Amino acid sequence: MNAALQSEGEALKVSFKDLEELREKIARVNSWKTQANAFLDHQTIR
Amino acid sequence: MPRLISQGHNGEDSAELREYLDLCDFVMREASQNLNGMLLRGSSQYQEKAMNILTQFNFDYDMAKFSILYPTVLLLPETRHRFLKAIKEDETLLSKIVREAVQDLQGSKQDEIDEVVSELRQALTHRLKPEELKMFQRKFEKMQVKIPDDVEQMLLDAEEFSKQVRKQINSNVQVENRLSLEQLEELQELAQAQCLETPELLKLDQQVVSARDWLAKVERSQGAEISLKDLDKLVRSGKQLPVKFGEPFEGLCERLNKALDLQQRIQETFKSNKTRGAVQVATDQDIGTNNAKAAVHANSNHNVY
Repeated sequence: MNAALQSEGEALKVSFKDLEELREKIARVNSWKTQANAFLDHQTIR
Repeated sequence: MPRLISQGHNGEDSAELREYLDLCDFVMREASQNLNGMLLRGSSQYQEKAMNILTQFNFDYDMAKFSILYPTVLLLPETRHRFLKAIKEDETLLSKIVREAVQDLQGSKQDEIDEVVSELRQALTHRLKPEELKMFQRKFEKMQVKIPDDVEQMLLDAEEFSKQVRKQINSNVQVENRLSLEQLEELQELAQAQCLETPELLKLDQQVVSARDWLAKVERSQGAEISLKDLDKLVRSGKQLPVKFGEPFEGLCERLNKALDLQQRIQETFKSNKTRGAVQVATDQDIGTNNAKAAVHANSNHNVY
């Protein structure tokens, strides 16, 4: 849903503080997910 | 202007007397700044003085006129003596001098009037500024001459046109009753042909420039990223212009409404996320919850334009 809101904002091509914060949060979570997946992959291999 | 002697006076003299008094009127009105009319000045009853002078010269109209036109000649003994001698030698001299003096005086006055009228007509071929019009009005007032009727009518027409413009450029008019930019430009073209530059016409020029500028900004904003603040500012400035922009304005309002709606939904999402802890923001569970909230929210109408 948050990603959908972000895409909606991008489609509108309007910028505002809350949208920026949302982008940052999504980016942080995505980064965390990537790290978590890498960790899980590592655990599985072991 | 009332005459002292007009009724019951000898009909033979009345035309000459009228002409004499008219000259006195003219001298007092138009040419009393210099020595002309010196003998008539100093009293509002100058006609009475005029009659006294006429009596003093035993109803010799030319002598009376001469004394009014050239007072010093008869008042200074030396010049008086020379003058009296000259008119004695040539009987036609006095009437000739008086005739020419009157022609000069009244003729130059008419030349002055003609010149000012011509200047005004010339000035009216382009838009005359209010202060320039006031200057002309003062000139006419000083000459005690009425502005020609056709010019007066032109000025009245220009004022009427301005009144109509004022109604058209009022930004309080409902959007549907406003002029389109093309119509506003047509109005501006008509305004260019007006003879008077009124505040309304200046405002109209300014509004046309602002409307074109606004439209250019909207065109630039389309397909480009814009901050919500600037978008809001653009919509407000478009609303303040007395123009029916149609699609560009409506499209902009729609974009703003969508952006405001999105902003509110994001804020709602953040609010609900905060109660659960920031870490959960993007979990699948949250996505489901926020979806439901957002759907409820999207149904509520919070359009501001």
